[in-house]
Amino acid sequence: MNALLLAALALIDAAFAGFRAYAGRDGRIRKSGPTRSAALRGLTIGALALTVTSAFTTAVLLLGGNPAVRYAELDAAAGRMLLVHAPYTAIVAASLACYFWGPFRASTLAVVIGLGPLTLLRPLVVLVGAVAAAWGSLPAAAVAVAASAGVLLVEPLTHRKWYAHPV
Amino acid sequence: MPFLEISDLVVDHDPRTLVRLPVRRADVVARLRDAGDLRGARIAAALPCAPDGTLDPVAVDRRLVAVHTELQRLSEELRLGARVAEVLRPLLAALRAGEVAGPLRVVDVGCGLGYLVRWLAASGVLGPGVDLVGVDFNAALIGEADRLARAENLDCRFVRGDAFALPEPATVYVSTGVLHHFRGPALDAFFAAQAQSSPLATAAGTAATPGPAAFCHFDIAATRLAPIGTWIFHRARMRDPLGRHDGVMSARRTHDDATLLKAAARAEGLVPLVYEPRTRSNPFCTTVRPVLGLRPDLVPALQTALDRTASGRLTGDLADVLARPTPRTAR
Repeated sequence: MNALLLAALALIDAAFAGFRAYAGRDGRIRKSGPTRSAALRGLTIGALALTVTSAFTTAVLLLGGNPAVRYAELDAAAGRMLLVHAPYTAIVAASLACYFWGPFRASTLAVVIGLGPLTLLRPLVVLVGAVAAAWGSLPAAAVAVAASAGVLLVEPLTHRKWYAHPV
Repeated sequence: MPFLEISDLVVDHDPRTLVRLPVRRADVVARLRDAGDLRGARIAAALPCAPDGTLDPVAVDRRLVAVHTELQRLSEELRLGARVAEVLRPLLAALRAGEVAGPLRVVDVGCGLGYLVRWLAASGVLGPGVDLVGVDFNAALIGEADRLARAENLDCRFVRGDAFALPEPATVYVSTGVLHHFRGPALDAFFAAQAQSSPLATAAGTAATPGPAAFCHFDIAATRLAPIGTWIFHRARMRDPLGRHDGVMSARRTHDDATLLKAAARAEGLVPLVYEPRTRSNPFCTTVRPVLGLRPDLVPALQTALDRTASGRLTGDLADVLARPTPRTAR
């Protein structure tokens, strides 16, 4: 269950990473279509990263002695990672709600104290999540590093592949 | 020490003929070093240049267009268009109720990529009968603004040159993020110049006093939060180090409300006002705010056109903008 929640979070994050990879590259005013396309591209890269991580996790699970014991170890690690990511996700979701549904002064507030700083903090949160997951477990450390690297690579890969130059 | 923006230093032109002048990279680097800006100097030193040491104009233009496109992202995220429209719509309503003849012409001074003009054209928020014009000295930015407007078939146009010397008079001058580029006497001259621009005709067909009916210039609100907020925001949202550098510098150069109000008084025949000064706004909700000037007869009409809450954000009282904000007065 913890792993599924993390996978869902990773895919949502990948869609936002796709948007960020595109943002600032297109000077047009009306661009909801290209924005959706960017989110889908991020999602695609994110899904590929998740597939690689899943394959790696499966290998760790199956190649290391008792699978049931290893599964419990990895599930506990995923739980620790979720404990770090869940509050961050909740604050981002609240900021986004304020941004999209609030009047523009509230949306400015959401950007100034929420979305802007949270984007800067995102790599740190991913890092802390990885450390929490890796704590006391070498197999979990390997999976956490792979998963976190996958999450952090989505935006630069999407940017480099599709948005290296202004649209 | 002065705060310099690299993008101000890398392009030069003859003010009379608008012919582009070569810029030596070493001169740009030296100016930044002299200002104590070693990071800026490093960024400038990496700009491509010809064997004679002059900056490559094609590369500079490409870089500036890319940086301004990134900058537009910030305007989009902070809903700059809606913020400007909140003031511009009632302002135009006041003008329509007055005796200004013909189409209302809104001229964006130093428009860059023309985001505001294009957003106003795309949203139609100002209603029909409004001529939207963007003006800038930079040929590359004006060219890109025009290309983007044509790509979306927007009803607006872009002109390279002096906004205060257009053949057709402006009804309202607007700008976003331009004021901090002028310091001291140059800021006074900026406001004085628009008051002397081509006169508008009145409904009776007679030439009125020179200058527009109003101006509305937005710039970064000078709050304690602005420098750190700008750093965070540019760091989080912009990739180009030149854009990040200039964004942070612009927040350091921004004028406080009192300075703008005093400078706006140089525009003869127009009443200076500030909307959402520091004393009447929450710095977390107001990242940019305008200084306005309008003909005296339009002031009551504007206050009527603004709703009650918005009208309370408008002041021309220097003592008011100099007052220390308190939780009771901060809105």
